[in-house]
Amino acid sequence: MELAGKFSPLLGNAKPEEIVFANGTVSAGGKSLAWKQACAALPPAGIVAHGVWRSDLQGRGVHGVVFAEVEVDVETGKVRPIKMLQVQDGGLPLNRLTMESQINGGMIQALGMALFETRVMDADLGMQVNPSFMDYKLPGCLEMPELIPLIDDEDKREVVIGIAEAAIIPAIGALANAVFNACGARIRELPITPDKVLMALAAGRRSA
Amino acid sequence: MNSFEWMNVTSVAEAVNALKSVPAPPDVDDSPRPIAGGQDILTTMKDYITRPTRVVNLKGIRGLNKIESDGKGGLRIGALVTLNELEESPLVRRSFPGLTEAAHSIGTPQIRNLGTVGGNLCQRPRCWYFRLEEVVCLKKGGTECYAATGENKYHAIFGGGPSYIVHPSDLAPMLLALGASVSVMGPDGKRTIALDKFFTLPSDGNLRRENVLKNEDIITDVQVPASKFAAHSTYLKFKERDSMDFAMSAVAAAVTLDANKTVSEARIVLGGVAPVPWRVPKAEAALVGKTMSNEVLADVARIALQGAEPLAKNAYKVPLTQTLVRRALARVGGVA
Repeated sequence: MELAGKFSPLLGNAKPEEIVFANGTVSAGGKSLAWKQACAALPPAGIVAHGVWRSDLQGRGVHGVVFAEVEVDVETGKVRPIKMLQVQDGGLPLNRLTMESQINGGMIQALGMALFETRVMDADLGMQVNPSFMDYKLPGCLEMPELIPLIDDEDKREVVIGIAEAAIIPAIGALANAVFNACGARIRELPITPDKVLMALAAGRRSA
Repeated sequence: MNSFEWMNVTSVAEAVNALKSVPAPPDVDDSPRPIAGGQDILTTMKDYITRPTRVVNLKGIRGLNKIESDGKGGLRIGALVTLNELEESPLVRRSFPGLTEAAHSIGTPQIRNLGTVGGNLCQRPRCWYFRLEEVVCLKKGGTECYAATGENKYHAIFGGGPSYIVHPSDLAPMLLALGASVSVMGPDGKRTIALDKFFTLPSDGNLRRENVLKNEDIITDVQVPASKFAAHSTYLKFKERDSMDFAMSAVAAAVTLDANKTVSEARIVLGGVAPVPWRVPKAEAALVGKTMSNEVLADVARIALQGAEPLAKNAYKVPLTQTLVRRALARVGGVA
């Protein structure tokens, strides 16, 4: 109501309760403002509005899926991520660009955990031996695969949930499965680094 | 980082004089140190691995930043030449392609724009125990190499003991394969040291250093002689992370092929596997007189890794390095 009141002068002094926000417009009494026009009418200092929490905005059953394609050099153990695709539900998307960026970020974090990052602890010293970003290896630009973020907004729940870095949960499994699918090495300890792949392939050949 | 005196010098003699320390410091790593690009020494100073009381800036010395022909088909590379200048030099690219590749493989563009040839050869080890401020290991005057029984994934499989570092330089294996030597200026004048006599193993006695240089010595230039095999040289570096990394393993290779594609000369030097660039003469001998084929290369690669003594967590370096030997030789030999 407070927000609607800000548009009242532009809509023929319509009563706030008659103002309708729908389909990208703000309208009342036959007058209509496009979303951009409406936003431009708001004070530069921003607006303060009060609302109350409604239980029906909560959503459950948030869902997503990640696909990963990798190449494995079976003579060096190098895993090269080629493409990752995530379809992610997060309820009502309020800003599609940032949501896609957030999905990309989740895939990148998962890629780091799956293939590069680890805290190496010396058991005798009780110390992490790789506390710098030289030795704690974050993936860089040459490690990035093609990333495809897809927003799943096909349901009609009208709930607001958020997505955080949802990809981390399934993407690591997707990458590990992709490594297995590519070369037959089932690596069960992260990160999946060349030394582990090479040794797993060698163990596989011995047991074959 | 400790406070230190900064000294700008304009000549090699002045630099050598400025590096003298009287009285002798309590520890070798408290000695005055030279700085050029600063890409390694600043990291060691920030972690108190080196604590120089005086830092001598070599960048004001004229004439050490040139890549010149020696008039006989070889090169004279000034110690202050940046890695980027080496990488971009048409003179190097034309006659010593492996050296261009080695320079390109280092660090990042930012590091290559500042890091120098002399500094690259004199880098301190990347061993993570050595680099931890809290750990006083053998190489810092302590009593134990923690990598020997600890986290040794990136450590030596050749030439280790009592310290198991690997030498981090990418230029060193390639320059060694090309038969290079360094000119060094010290208090007793100038001397030339072949690169195969420059780097020292921990078992040679001085655990606190990785080469024969004394504290007052500075490298002035690197000489790369003309050779038949220089044109067929390559540097193949395997990085765990392509964006920026030191070598997990690397191979510098150069061959001379005669008219019927038989190998008449071969140089194979391994990087990232030993405390020094590790030449493998038996593998070289096994290649000479042969025509390269996949079978010959597999055999040479197997011989190159004979005698490797992996630690608990780096046995992968044996098959990895064999792969790199095969691929590097296939590249210089034109084997598909």
